[in-house]
Amino acid sequence: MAAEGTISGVTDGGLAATHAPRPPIRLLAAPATGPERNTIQARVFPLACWRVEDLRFEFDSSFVLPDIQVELRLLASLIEEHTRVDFPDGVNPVRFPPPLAVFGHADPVSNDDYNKVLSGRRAQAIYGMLTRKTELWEDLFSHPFGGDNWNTPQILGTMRAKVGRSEDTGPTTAATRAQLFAEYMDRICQDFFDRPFQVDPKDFLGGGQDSGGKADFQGCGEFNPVLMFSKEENDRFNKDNDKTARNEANIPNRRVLVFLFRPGSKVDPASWPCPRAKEGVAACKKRFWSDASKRREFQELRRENKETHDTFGCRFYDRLAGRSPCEQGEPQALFHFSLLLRSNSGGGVLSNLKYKIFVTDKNLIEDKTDDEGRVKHPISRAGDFRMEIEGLDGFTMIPSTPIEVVDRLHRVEGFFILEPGGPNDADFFLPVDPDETVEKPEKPKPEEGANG
Amino acid sequence: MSTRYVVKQGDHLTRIARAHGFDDFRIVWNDAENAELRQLRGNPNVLFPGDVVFVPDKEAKKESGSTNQRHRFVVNAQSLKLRVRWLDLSSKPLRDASVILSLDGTETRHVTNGEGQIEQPINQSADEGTIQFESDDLPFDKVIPIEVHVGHLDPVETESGQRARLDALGYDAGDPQQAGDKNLAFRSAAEEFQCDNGLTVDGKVGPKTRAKLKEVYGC
Repeated sequence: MAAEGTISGVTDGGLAATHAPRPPIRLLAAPATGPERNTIQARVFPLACWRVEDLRFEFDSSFVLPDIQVELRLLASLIEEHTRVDFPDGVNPVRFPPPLAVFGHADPVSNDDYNKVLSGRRAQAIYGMLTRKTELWEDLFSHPFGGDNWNTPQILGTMRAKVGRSEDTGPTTAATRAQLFAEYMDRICQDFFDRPFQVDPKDFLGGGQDSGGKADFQGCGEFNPVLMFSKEENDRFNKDNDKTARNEANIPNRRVLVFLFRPGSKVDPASWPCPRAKEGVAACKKRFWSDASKRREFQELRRENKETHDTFGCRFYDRLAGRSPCEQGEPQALFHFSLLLRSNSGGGVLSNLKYKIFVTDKNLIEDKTDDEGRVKHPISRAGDFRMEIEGLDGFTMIPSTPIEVVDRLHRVEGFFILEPGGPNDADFFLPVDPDETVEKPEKPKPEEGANG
Repeated sequence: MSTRYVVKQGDHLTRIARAHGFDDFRIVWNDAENAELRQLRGNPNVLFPGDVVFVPDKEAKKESGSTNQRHRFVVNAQSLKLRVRWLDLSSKPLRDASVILSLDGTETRHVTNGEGQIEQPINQSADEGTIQFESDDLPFDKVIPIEVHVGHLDPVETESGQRARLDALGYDAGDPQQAGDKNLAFRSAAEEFQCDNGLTVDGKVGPKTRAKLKEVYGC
């Protein structure tokens, strides 16, 4: 089943989307002649989601890389979009932002306890950044865990470079780190107007009531992968001495999600099923599906959440996020765009021409223009696109036309603009040399053929 | 003349009894012919389509009294009520919330009591309605009203009855029309309910789970 919802932005490092609206509550009520009653129970359901990929973290670390800036802009917009604004006195606006909850995920490699800690540390890093709680970053810095050690020249250098303090090279103190973290957070956590944005701890699902962040941020460990290898694939990866291939294949599983809930939703942290980021896996296992052990096995076939819906071990998370557009792997389609290819030498349409569209070096689409010279395709992500059209070799702009999709504007320079929700059709003139003739396969026209 | 009435979706005993001229449903319900149905369903207002209700003959009732005197005859009709209770995100009663109940075109305003509950006397013909919250700062949507279908709750022994209760309790048991999704969503809802209520988590709605579901839902 396809993702249910609307994707508002896709980048190399993440995704922002709004969930499909929930159907109204339908109460099939029994009337009563005795003491009977009907009960309706409120639940929290996410309105929207934001996912940041492994790519935005230092390898095997919870350190947040500066490129996350691009995804954080999407988050800022998403929060804005789902903020309710009331005018209780008719004049002055009062804002009710959607409460957030952060979920970190690791890949199903190594062991449950290790992965629970690591995913919790990534969740803590994101939560700490959004709230500007530098003490949470200090906690990560001063308590390295396995390979997750922030106290390296590389990480310090990354932060210093980003905030314009490259000349600082010496050791840090708690005080200079607090300053550095705060500046770095402000520098990367910005909205589309390049203004630093932050989230009040009370605007998280648990309302910041719990000192360990219960219901505000948590690590799911390796319990909820979006992709489970087949047994054969896994055995093959296990035989490799070099685990690079397995690590790469597991990229989609290493992610952090932020869910946005209905404004006004607050849960009592004590009644929230997920354990704190720093707690063990026991509470997670209480919420497991009854068939969790089977779900967590590498089975005969490769499984993906978007197809089989059976890769999450935690039932509670599955209910919250299983159908979220942010947990469906690669999004199906962000843009449905079509191009009209016409020769500007004679004004004729360039029909039935073979073309290829590439994302980086990966061949994305291979097809032919239709009878009207149109190219129609869903495109699932922003990025640098290259288009090659066969049969036009030798022309100045052909065979490769770089199509640059710039960030959220989705603007394709010089030719057409792609915007979510906007018109998806654009005329695309190929500036071919008027002296050259375009060789294209003629499509036989039956009515003419009959007469001739 | 007595008849055997086959229950349709939306029927409840008060409606069936009154349609056959009985103001007091108990005369029908307690008829010896309905012993098996009583045993099976327990609650006269939670019947299942296809259930057969025996409707006895109407007996004219004779009362003696002197002439030239006024006599009061109290019809022993059982009043029918609709009770709805709301629990908040922490499963605590949602108190003091203002709601508008609209039933067959008639609006009544209510404030939930200490148990998070409202109660409205209703007519046996009451069928479709909505309930709308009047405030924005509640864990329920103010804009989208709750749809109410009176008399449509199926018995807890049936899957549709289990689904209706799980849905109302926020467990989202899935769309029964949607093949494939159906079992997974239902099992998820049933397991989550079992987990929340300290029952064995197996996704199967057995006698213990049914009893608990009835208890938590309220009928």
